[in-house]
Amino acid sequence: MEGLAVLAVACVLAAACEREEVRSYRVAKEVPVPGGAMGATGAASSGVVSGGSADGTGGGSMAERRPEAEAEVAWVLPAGWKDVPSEQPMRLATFDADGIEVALSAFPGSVGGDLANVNRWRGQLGLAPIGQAQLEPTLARRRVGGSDVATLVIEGSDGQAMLAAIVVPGDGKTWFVKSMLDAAKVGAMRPGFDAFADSIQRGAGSGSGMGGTGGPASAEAASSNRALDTAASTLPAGSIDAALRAFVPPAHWTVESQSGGIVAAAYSASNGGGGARITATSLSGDGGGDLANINRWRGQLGLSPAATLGEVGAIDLGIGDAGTITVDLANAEGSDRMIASIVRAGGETWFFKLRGAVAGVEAERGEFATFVRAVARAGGGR
Amino acid sequence: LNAIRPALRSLASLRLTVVLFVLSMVLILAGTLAQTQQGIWLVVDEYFRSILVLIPFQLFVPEKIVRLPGVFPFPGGLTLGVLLFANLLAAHAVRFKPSWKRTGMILTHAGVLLLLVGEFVTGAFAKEGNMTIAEGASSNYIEDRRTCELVVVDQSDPTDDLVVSVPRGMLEDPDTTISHGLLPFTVRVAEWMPNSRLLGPMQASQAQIAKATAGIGRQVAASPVAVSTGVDGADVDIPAAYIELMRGDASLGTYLVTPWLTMAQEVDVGGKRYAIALRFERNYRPYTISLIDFRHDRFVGTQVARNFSSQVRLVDPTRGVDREVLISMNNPLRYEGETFYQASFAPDDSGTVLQVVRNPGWLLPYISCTVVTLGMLVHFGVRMWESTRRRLA
Repeated sequence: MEGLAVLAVACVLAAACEREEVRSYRVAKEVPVPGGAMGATGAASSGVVSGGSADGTGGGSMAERRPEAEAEVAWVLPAGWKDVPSEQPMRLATFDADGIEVALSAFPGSVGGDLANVNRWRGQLGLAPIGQAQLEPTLARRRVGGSDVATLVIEGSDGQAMLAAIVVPGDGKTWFVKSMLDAAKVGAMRPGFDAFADSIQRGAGSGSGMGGTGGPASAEAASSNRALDTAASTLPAGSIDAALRAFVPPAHWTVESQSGGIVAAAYSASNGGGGARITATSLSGDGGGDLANINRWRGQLGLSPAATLGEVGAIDLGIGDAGTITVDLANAEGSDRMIASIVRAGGETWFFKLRGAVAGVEAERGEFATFVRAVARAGGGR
Repeated sequence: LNAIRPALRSLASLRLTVVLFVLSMVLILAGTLAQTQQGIWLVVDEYFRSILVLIPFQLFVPEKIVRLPGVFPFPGGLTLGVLLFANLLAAHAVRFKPSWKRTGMILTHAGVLLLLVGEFVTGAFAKEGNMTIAEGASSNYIEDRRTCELVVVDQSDPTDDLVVSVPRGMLEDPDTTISHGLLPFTVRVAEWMPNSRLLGPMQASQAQIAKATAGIGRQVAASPVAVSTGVDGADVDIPAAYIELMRGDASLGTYLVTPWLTMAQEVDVGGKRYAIALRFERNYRPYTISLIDFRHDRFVGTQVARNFSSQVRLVDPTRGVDREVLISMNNPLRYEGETFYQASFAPDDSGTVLQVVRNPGWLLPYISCTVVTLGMLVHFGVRMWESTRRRLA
C-alpha cells in the first residue's frame, strides 16, 4: 500500500515533466484533394471526385473528357462507348460499351497491391484467392506512355467473367477499370477495353487550361487560391457587404480602388486569356427583376432582349443554391463575354459579374464561382 | 514499516479526507466558472490535470460589481487526486482491519481507486483528434485541433516529404527565436495570436499588411481575437503568427502563417525550396481511410437530420487489411486501439469529419462503477443480513 502511494506521487512528478521538442518524420507525398480545401478549417470542398463534370459533350478526345476533379489524368473513350450517369459509390465514371457496363475508379496509393485487389475481385466471383506466383501469369503488364497498365480476365464458375485493368499513371493513385460480362463476350470486348485502359494517362497538369481554371502560376497564387476556397467557411456570417470586405481574392486578382456608388467590390484578373474584371454590385429590393437586368446586360453585349427567363441562357455555375440565376453571355463577334449571377440576401439583390475577353473569362470561371459561392453563402444569399 | 507508520497515520486521517473533498469541490466550482472565460480544454489542463493552479479572485465576483485583481494558488486536480488516492490507500494500510464484514466497503473503495487511476490514465495517455475526408479522397493522419505545429517541409524527395515540426509550446513566447539542426533557417516569432481572424485585402489596414514582407501575408492579414470559452459554442481556436525566417544574419522575410491558410507557402533557402505552414497538429497513421460515400439523411419534408453515415474503405498495407466499413452515429469503427466516431460533416455534405479517440483507459470507468456498485450491494446486503438476524434472535 505504501509503495502504491509513493508510485502515485512519482506519477505526478513524471506528468509534470513533459517537454515539447522539435521532431521530424517522413511522410508519403500528399495527393491533393481535387479542387478542394476541406482542410484544417473544414472549408468547403468544391469539385471533389463525385462532383467532377465533363466539359465536353461526349467521348473522343482528351480535351473533351477531362473531369475538373481529376484534371491531372485524362482518358479517351473508344468508339461506341458512352458516358452514363451512375450513383454507384467509389466510381469516378461509368461507361456503356455496347450494352456492357464499365466502371472507372481511383484510389490513392497502391490500395493494398495488385494481389489484394485481384483476390477481392475473385471473391466477388466466388473464387478462392490465389498467391503471387499464380497472379503474375494472369496479368498482361505493359508500359504505355507514362502509365503502368496491367489487365486481366477472371472467369467465374457461372459463365460470368470480369475484365479488369489496374493503371498507375503516376498521379499518386491507382486507377481501376472493371467490367462484368458474359465470358463469351470477353474476346469482342477486350480490344476496346485494353485501348481504354492504355489511354488513361497523366495530362499536362492543371495549368494547361483544359477544363481547369488556368491553374495557379506560382505557389503564392496557389496559397491564395486555397485561401479563396477557405473563405467559403471563414467569412463572417451576416451581410454580403461584410463578407465582401473579409473576402480574400486570389493572388492574380487586383483590388480596384472603389469609386463608390453601388459597386461594392471590383477586381481585375490578369491571366493568359486577356484578363477579366469581376464586380459585385447591389440594389435594394428585387433590383428591377431578373429578366430586366439580364436584358440590360444582353444589350451591353449587343444582343437582342429575351422575352422570358427561359430564353436567357441560364447556366449552372456550380454554386449550388447560393445563386438564384446565372447567365453566360457573349457578343456576336465572340470578343466580349459576361458571366453574371444574381443573388438575393437581406432585402437586397446582388449582381456578381465576370466580364472580359472570352478566354479571359473562361480562365476565371472557377475562381468566380468560388467567389460568388463564398460571399453569397456567408451573406445568407439564396 | 513501523518507521513510516506515524506518517501513514497522518496521511490516513479522516480529517484530511474531508479537507480534500472540500478542496475538490472548490476546485470544481472554480473550474466551472473559469469555463466562462477560457476554453474547456484549457481549463481541464490548467485546473484539473495540473499540480497547482493560480485562480483569479475575479472569477468569483462579476467585474461590474467590483474589480478584484490578483490570483491565489490552489492545489490542482492532479495533486488532489493523488492525495485522495494516497489517503485512501493509507487508510486501508493502517486503519481498516480486513474482515469479511468489510468486503463491501473494500470493494467500494477499490472501485473509487480504480476511478482515480482511470482519470490519470485518460489524462496522461488519451489522444483525441479529427480525421477530415472529402468524398472520394483519403486521409492517413489525425488532426488535433486543440494544438498546432509549425511545419517546415522538404519536398525535394520524389516519394517522401521530410517534415520538421515545431510544437506550439515553442512558438507562444513573444520574440522567441527557434533554431534546430533539422531546420534550414532560424525562426523568430514576431507575433503570436492564440486565436485569430483572417482579414482580406479590403479589410486589413496598411499597417496590418505591412507586418509580413513575404508570402500570402502581403495581401491578407490576421488579427487577434479572444480565445473561445467553454460557454460560447466555439470549440476551436485558430492561431496565427508572424514569423521571421533568418539564414545567418540575413532575413528571408516575415511570413504570416495560420491554419486559416490551408496550403503551405514556399520559402527559397539557398536555391532549395521548403514549404512552411502553421497547421493543426497532425499524427500520421500507417493506414489510409478513403471516404466512398457520405450520407446525411433527413426526415422527409424537413431539414431535421435523421442519420449521418460514412461508407469508408480502410486500407492498411502493414497488416494486409483492405475492407469497407460503414461508420454511423453510435456505430463507430474500432481499429488499432482507436475509435472513429461520426462527428461532423463538411459543407454541402461533401465530406465527413470523424472524431478519432485513443484512450487506453476507456474501460476503467465502467469497471470501477461496476465494482463500486457491487461493493455497495455487498455492504448493504451484509448490514441488512445482520439487522435481520438481530431481530430474529
